[in-house]
Amino acid sequence: MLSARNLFKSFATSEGPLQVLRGVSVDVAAGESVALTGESGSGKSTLLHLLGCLDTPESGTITLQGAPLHDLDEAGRAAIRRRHVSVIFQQLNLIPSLTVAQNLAFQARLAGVLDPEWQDEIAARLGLDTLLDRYPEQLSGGQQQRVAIGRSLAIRPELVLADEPTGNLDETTADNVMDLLLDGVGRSRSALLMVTHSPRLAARLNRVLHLREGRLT
Amino acid sequence: MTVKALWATLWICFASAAGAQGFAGLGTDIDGFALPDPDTELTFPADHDAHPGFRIEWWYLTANLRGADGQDYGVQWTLFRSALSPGTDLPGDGDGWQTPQIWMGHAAVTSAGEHRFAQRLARGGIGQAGVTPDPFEAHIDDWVMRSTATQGDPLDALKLRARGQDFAYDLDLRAEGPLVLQGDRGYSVKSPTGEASHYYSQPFYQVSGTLTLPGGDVAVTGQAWLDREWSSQPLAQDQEGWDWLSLHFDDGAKLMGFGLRSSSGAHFTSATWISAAGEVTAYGDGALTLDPLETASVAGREVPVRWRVTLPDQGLRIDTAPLNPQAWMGTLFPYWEGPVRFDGSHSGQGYLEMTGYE
Amino acid sequence: MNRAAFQALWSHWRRHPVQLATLVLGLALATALWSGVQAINAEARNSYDRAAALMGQDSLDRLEAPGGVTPAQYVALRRAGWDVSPVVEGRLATGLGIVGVDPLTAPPQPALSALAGDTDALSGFLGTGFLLVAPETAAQVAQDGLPPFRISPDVPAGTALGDIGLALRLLGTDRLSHLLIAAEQPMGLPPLSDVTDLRRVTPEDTSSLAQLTDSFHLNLTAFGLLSFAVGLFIVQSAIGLAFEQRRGAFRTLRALGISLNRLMGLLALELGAIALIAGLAGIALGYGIAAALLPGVAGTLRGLYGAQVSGTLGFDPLWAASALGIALLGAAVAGAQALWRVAQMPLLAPAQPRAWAMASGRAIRVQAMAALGLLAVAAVLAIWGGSLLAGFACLGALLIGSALALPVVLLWLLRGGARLARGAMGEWLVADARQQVPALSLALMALLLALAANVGVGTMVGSFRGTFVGWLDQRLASELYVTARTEAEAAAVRDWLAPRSDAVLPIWSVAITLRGAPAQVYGVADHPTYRDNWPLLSADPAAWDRLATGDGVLVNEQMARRDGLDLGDTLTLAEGWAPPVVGIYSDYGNPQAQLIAGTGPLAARYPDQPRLRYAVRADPSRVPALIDDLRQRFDLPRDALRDQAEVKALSLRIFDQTFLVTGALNVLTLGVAGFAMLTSLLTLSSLRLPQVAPVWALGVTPGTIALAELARTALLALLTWALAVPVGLALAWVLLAVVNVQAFGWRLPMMVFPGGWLWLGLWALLAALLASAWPVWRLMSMPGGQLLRVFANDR
Repeated sequence: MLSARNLFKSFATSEGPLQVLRGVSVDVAAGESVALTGESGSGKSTLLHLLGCLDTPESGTITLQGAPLHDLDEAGRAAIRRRHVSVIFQQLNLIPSLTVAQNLAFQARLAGVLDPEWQDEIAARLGLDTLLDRYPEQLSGGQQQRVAIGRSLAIRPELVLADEPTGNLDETTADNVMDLLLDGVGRSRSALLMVTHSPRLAARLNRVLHLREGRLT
Repeated sequence: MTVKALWATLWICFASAAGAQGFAGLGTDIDGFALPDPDTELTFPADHDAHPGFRIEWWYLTANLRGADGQDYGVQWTLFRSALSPGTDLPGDGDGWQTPQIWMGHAAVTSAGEHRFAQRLARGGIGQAGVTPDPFEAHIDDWVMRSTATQGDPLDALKLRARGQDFAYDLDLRAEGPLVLQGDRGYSVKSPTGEASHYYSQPFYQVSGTLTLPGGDVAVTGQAWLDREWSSQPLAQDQEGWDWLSLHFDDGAKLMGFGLRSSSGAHFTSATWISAAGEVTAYGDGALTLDPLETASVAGREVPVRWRVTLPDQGLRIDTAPLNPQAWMGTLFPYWEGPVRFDGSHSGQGYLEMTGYE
Repeated sequence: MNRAAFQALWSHWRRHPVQLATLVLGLALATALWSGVQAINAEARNSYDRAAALMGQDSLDRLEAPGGVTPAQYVALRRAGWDVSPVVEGRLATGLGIVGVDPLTAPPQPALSALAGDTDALSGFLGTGFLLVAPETAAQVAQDGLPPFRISPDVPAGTALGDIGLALRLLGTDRLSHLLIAAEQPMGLPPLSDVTDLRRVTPEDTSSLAQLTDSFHLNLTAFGLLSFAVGLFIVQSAIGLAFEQRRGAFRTLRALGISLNRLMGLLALELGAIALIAGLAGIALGYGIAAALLPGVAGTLRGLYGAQVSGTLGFDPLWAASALGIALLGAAVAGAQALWRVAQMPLLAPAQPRAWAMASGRAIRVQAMAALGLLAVAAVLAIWGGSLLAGFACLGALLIGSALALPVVLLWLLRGGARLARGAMGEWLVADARQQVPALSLALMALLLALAANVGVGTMVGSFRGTFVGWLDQRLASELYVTARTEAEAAAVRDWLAPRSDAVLPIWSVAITLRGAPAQVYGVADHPTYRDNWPLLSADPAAWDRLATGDGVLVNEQMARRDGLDLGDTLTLAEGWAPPVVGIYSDYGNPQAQLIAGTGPLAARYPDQPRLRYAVRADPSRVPALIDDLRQRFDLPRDALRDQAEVKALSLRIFDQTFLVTGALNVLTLGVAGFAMLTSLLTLSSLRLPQVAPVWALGVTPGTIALAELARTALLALLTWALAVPVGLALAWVLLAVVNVQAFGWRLPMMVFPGGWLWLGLWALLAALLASAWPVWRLMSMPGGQLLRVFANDR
């Protein structure tokens, strides 16, 4: 479904360019869940950003359902983000000025694929029914991440990209959130690529990739 | 301040000494004013009136009085006239507000303990100040010197009034002798270079009247002396000021004497001896001597308040003493003017005037 | 250690030069507007004091009579011993004020100091005569073909001081205006009432001019204060931003062992240094503003009150020092909150700045109550307050109440608007706008005040102008106005015109003193020109008939209001002539009392007044020819002939000049409000990343986000404008119906100019868009990584 070939990416730093990705190739099949692990600075987030159309590779190709993503312009990439690929960050996923209900529906409405029944189901499954009128800053970290999961699933994306979604949470909460995420992607039949440095969490997914010094090992 | 400055420059003959330059204006050019003429015959009552063709003129009366309270008093009543330009021929009209004639009155009442004075300024032309010959009246505001004579010379009998913030007086004067022409038939020379004035006096007044003082009215009697003088250039350029005396001797004789101080050192003196009958002997430069005996600190300056006066020709050698050494006229042009007593070869009372002390 | 720590703190400004510039510029602007207005006020007050002190008019009692004092009356008083001094005051046709004094009897005064110690000057002043004038009046005197003049800076502007003889001649009168009574009088004088019939008048405590113009200066001060407050908004937001951004640095410094007190001290020192620089810039700027505005202010004061104010500005070190003080004080006020927050910051507080805060319901309720209370106070004062002070208090309460109400109303409106919003983006836009209200409220309040002031003052000036134009049309009924140079010429002109026109109506006036103030009595002929056109506010039905017979007089509204005159009250216009008031007419823009009497009856009492001016009724199409003929035949100078259109144009020009300053201050205030908006938005923009980043991540292009940002600012600005219009109208009403009546003595009908509001709305929109363009551009032109970094915890 998602296929990336030979991705290169570097960042400018004060000591010259820093080569983060050095020819990474990765494939994710539909409905599959993949863990992406590696040490700090190994390029996990960068790879995730490239696959999520949040950033562009210097070279290499990315295709989704056979359609190339790597040469899309800003508007094209925005359209992919809006409709096909959801991203869950470690924090600050939500729009502070909108309520939980508005946040949950925001992406789906932007994409024009709002499905009220599906929306209700997500809220119920994630246990957000009673929090719908609250604002993000009134929620705990775990609650915020549950809303972020719900929002990302609302468009039934082909692929959910998650960047340490439980990184800020304690273990119990993290497990709970993880359960809900896996349950959710299952129900929406979305594939999942999740960055984590927790072997325990990685083990719960179908497959584990390890990134080291910009290369998959 | 401004008016003061104005007068200090306009009324130059009384101004403080201005160094070698002399009193600004008077020592310089004449601007078309009439000059005193030795051949002029003074005629009365016509010459009691103002002489607007001359630059300056005054009606100057001083009185030595004794109060019912037993105290001695001095009284001064002076009206000065100063012309900005000769006559009344200003552009437009010399009459009314735009007259060139400026008038100034000084009045004072001096006792041993207190010297009270006042000043008035006015322009001619509107009736605020001036002199009328018939009936004779000299006035500025409500200060008057008015003839009350029913016969004879208008100056034979006078009503005299003035007031300030802390005094007023109302005096009746009666002359017991004739008018006296000073110098050469009223032509009085003021310097070796010939500057002169027209000058006559009435030194024979007997006075009675009332002084109104903050403490109440005081009835007074005594003697008075009137000077009339007009000129356009009375001082030489290097003359700094003068010391002037009018003395009543106990025996009825009178003496007018003055010394003009020169910055070049040579003082010019002049005197007129007037017998009790009114016979006049005029003395030119040098006959009279005036020597300061003692100075006093007056208004922040040293002023000689006691004098030795000699006139050997009359056997006169007297020392004067002021009734009040602080008889300072703090007017626009400040000067010392006050009653004196004297003794020595003669005794009596009189008035001393000193100008030009910085 | 201090040095190193200070360098660490200061490095922030090196990296954010725009922030520093904003801070300095904001403080400099605030200082400049405030101190500029102060400088103008001080200069004007100086002029009043000079005018009042001239001839001891501010302190000495005076003697006066209707129709003036005769020289005989003066001399009679002097000869009774009273120390009085004559003064004549008047105005030449050219507008030059003439004051004549008698330096021989006048009380001491600085205005004559130019004569001190100069023999020629003194004798010249008394003799052939010259005038003393202020430097700025010199050109006027030179042009007028008057006697020679000399400069005396102590003479009030617009006035020439001369010897009384000269002044009487110039003014063509033999009457003295009044006699000043010296404070110290000789002893034993007869009572004044035994000596004279003249009436003794004690001057008001302070200069009447200063009182009259107080309202104007209060107005200016209010504008200055408004600008200062708006400027402080800028400073506050700049300081707030700088402190927020340096939270990390503060934490590090404290962790490195800098005590809280030392840190606070360093920050205060830094703020003080910035304030000093800004203050100096503000002084320069303020002086520039004052110097630029002063001629306009002088024009206003001359137009409204007849007050002569010097058009040139002096530099007063004391003023500069106080301006510097105001800058430091302003910085302290604006920085206090930020410093307090640093003091409260726990050592281990998260260094993450809080971008925004939800306005708590409680705070909003308190603010709403305060706003309502103030608006209620304003209403009470508007209805029941009877003084100028109450009028200004009402204005203050209205403006502050409205400003406080603004965020409350905006939140309320946006909550309602959220329901109307369509689509996810629309919803987000409105929701985000609501959340920006607390952070932007100060800037929006500033905008509201500036807009309301604009609407209010604009409505007032517009109403005034509209009324004035209508009134001019009525009052300038004659087609041509002729001024002759001499009585003989006037007679010749009249005779020549009589067969060639419909009517030749004399215009002439007598200056008298009425109820202790100067007044001008105009003689008008009994002619339909006046009957049909002269706008009377209230009148006896037979007013014009009674005028013609001498059994009546008209007074202007100013005099009627000031002296509480009503129809039927009698006024003594001359000895033995006390006609009743038979009508009150509007007389806009005239500071003085003015009366109209029948020309016959007036001429009978004042036979010597020259009659040189005529109003000519003629067919308008013939007027140009008449002017040419008159000019050729009588060799009249250019300004001796004026047609109606010219007079109208001149009047309107004077009118517009009068309100030039108001316009300038309006623009300045709006500009400052726009700048406040810019700085607030700049402050917000760097804190808005966390709010914008998720939206971007969810698939909204930066372009769309930028548009949304602009739209949001526009929305807030437009809502603020919509609220400012009613506030401005309320302001205008208070100005016209309360302040104007108290300050000027006339009431004006209120006219509204909706077109102007629309323009203002466009300006507000433009200002808001300009203010937000840069912050949005900055936000959007960030490299994508910048947005991404919000989320990043790893690469």
